[in-house]
Amino acid sequence: MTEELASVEGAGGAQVTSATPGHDRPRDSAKVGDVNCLRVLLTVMAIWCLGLPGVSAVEISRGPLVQPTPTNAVIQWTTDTSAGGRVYFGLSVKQMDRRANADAVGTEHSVVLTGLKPGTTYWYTVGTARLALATNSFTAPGLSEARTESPAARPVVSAPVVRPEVTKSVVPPVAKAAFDPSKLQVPPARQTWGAPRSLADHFERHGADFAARTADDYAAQAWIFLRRAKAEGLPAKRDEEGVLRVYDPKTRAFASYNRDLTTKTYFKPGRRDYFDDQPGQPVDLNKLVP
Amino acid sequence: MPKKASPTFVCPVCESAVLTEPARSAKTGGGSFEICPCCGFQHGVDDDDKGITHAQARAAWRKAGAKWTSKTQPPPKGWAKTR
Repeated sequence: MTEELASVEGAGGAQVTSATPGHDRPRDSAKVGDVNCLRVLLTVMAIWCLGLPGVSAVEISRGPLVQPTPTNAVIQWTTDTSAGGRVYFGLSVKQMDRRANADAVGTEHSVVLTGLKPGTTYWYTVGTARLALATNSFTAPGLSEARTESPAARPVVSAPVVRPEVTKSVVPPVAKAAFDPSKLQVPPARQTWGAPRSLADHFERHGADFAARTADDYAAQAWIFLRRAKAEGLPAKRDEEGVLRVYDPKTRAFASYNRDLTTKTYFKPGRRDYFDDQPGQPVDLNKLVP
Repeated sequence: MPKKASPTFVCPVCESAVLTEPARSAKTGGGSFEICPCCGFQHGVDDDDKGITHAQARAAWRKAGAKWTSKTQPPPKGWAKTR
């Protein structure tokens, strides 16, 4: 059967002579078409079966760990169930256009990335052929400082690696308008907090800074803080990704908000220069906050 | 690129893939302010404000038993088996 199909395919659908001994009559084009349609149908079905979602619920249980050299990197990770392993990688989060496969299916995965350039930062995603499990970055050691740890591994007093937007804050004149929070209708925390699952953790860490009684009270105070910052003209800056950072020099309260103005965090930094060291350009909150 | 089941980024302190965004922005260098539910390190705060390095935080976390920190966010399936 395979031999027959091979001869049909090679002929490109035209009338062909079967290669099978004992069959001297040429096949007609209808049968050639039927065979080709069957091959296409079987191929589509195979692709569909392999692509079924939820076939496996693979999760990472350890790693990924990276061992880079100037031109290569070994990435290892463990999954909770047996699966194939694949790494997509590239020069940015949006441009991971190269890939490398693990040698075998299993729970322990090891992939070697080759062709790297020394001193270059690479972003990578580990997972299977169809499922991304984790994303991170590393820097191939070489000409520039290696970054297997993040820039924050250095003492905090040193300057960050790349902060082109860092500017010294300019404290604008305090607005004369009085701010009365009692007139505000604060939305529920699930609407004001950027990552609702994390609110409890932030409240546990920083709630005492503001004498917050509950996580919802803490989230409400963060929401009110932004409105007060707008009313009073407190220092604010926004970075390239739209992250907003606001600071009250008098109370030392600091908050960060996502582009949609939901809260990322709210706390009181210990360092006086903390806000000045944050990335972003000064911004007028009257133009951002409704 | 394959479809993402859920976005997960690796915490550079505990090396668990449990963050919802990169610990630091590749574009601005700023910390994410996310508190790792595994080791409890708050990126952009514990480092930038308190001066704790990732190596120091990792060592302290391991010395304390490398336990899952968050009381409200559960660890991913299979996480405990590798500790």
